[in-house]
Amino acid sequence: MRQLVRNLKAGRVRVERELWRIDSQGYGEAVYGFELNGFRYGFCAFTSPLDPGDRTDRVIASAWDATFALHDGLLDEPALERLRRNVPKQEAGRFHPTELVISRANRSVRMFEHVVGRLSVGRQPDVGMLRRVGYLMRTTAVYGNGKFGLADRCRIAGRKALAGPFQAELLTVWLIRSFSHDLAEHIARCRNPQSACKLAPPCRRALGIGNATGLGMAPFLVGHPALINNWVVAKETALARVRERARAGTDEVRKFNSILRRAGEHVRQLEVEDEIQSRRNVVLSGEITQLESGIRKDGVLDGSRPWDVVYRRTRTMSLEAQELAVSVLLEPHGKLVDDLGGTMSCDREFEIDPSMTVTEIRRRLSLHWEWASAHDFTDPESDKVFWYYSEEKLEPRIGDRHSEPGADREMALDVSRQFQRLGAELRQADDGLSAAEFLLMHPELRHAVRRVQNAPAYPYSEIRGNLVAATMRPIDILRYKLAFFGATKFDPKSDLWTRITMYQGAPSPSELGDPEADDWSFPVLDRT
Amino acid sequence: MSPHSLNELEMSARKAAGALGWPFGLAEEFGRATVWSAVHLPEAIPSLLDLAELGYGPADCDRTGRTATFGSSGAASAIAAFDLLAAGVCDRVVFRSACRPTGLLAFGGSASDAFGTVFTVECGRDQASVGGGHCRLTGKLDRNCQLRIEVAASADGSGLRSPKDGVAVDAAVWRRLETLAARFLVPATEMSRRIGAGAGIVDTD
Repeated sequence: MRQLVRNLKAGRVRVERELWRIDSQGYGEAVYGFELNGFRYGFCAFTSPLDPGDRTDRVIASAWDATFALHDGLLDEPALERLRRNVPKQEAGRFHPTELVISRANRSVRMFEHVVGRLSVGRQPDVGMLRRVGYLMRTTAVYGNGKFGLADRCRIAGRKALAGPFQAELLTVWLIRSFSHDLAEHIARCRNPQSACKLAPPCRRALGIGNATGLGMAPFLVGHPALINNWVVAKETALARVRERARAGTDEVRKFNSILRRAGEHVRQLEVEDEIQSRRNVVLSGEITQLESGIRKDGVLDGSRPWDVVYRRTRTMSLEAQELAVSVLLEPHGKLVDDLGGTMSCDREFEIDPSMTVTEIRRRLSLHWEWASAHDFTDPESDKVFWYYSEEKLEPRIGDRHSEPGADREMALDVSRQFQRLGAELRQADDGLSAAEFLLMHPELRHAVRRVQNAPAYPYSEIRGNLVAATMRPIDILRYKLAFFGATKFDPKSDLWTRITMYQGAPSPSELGDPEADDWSFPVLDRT
Repeated sequence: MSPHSLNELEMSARKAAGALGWPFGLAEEFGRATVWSAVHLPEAIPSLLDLAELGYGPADCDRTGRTATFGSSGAASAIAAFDLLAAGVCDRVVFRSACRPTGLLAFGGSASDAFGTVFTVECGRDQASVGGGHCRLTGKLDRNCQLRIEVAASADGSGLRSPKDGVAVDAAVWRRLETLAARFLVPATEMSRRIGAGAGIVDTD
């Protein structure tokens, strides 16, 4: 999200409302247009009444408060007519290669009504409500990259601002957020034209966009090992560059102190329903205070390799504190690390090297062996879970291998089990055999060989756990991916799904030109 | 013919192969071969689907010197053949019976993209070469021919053309692929609907 907004700002994007055909209840259609680095885009929204009994965050929903599409090029009437017929159907619709992304969202009923009610009588939303909810609408799916006939990634992979992973999807979500603000203001104005007011800029900024995320992220991560490796390498490289700095510059120190203080306040303001996460946030808050006072007391930032010292001080703290500290360390060093954003994409996943010898494959497997061999697959609990696509809208689900049907159609997420099988066969094979010859005898191990061969070049490509164990918690995988998007306010609803907030604190389209538009990490709500 | 994205073709093909019991690594190759066909040789997709339904294996191979001879051109044999050629283990591969030569060619095409190798396929008097982002056919590799096929590797070639406007796939062929892919989906039960995924069925927060 931070990369995207920075690119939108650099590209001097001006989003214009080209069509607004929305009634007083908020139902109808709207079109926005803008140009980004020489390419024209259109964004359309369709809203319609939704029976409360049909409102669900699940993929299996078939109706939503609002549906959206990001179109490549000028959104003319024929294209709009096609989208009008298809976008509200989402997965059941059919799309064209000129459509980049589709999405849908539901209103947060309590927040939406609260904001509209307040605006309609000339008042701003309650800060407590902003803190507790933080968005007007919540997206429940964002589809791109060729789904349902949408454009393949290759269409936009060469475009500067959209070349990074998920940038088109994140752009769509940013536009949905802006639309949700416009929609609330519109309904308030229709309700009471004489008294209604607009969202004040701080409130507008405080209203991000919600998102509900479920199991689908886990198969994605396992299926894109090179991509997730590139994400982590970019992060680790950025951190290494910062830790290497011999001294801290005055400007960096000022920014670091300011952001660390803001991060502390941000965490103190977090209100989530999940008990475990709430407790973690309390611990985190205390650790930030401890880190901040320790740095000040010991004059860490005046010494040598100050950022490395800061990083090391977090090593005994919670994982939450360690990761937050990394983010705070990177923030003041944009010039040093921003180029790494361009290294996070990946247009081709692993290839097989058919000439590699069995000896070399064995050596590469040894790089993974410690974690891959840690599971005893003779224990039924070790492979109790299987992952599958349900025939209900292809919803990714998990089941119990020993008591539910469908394990014969499981997704290949059992990487550690596959690696163990590969290890067993490699032990029996001749050293000098090529991968091609080995696979001639063991075609069922092709996927495992492909992953193992690429281990040295992609050290962060594997989720080092057993994703089919009874003890597996998908929520950790979900958070991993969402963190790379820049999501905040992680609020797990169970081990299987979570709600998050995106773009809270981010500039709206009209604010992109502000000098401080890029400084929106760790948003803090004004208490007044 | 409506355009389809390469991604949905690849994912549907993988699911189809999975539904037919293929190991995931071979299903991945089937997905790639399907995409390659859609871009370079759309008429090969039905042959690929035939191969999928015939089953993937086994890869029955005899090697004499630098020549490998396969009894059939099933998917496992086809994939293994191009592996052996790309690895330099063999110079020449012979399929005694190639029931779907264009399907075999599709596996060769995607292998050429992966390995940067140009493969030449001979079937009777007809010849085809794939690689370097091209597919050249002289004559016609008939879908149902039972001829002997010879494959050889040479030179360097890579680079799948990436159509930015999707690819046209015959509606009947797409339906067939979708029907196969749907068999990979697990029917819903009340329990799976309730606890197999996150979130509640109704949410009016």
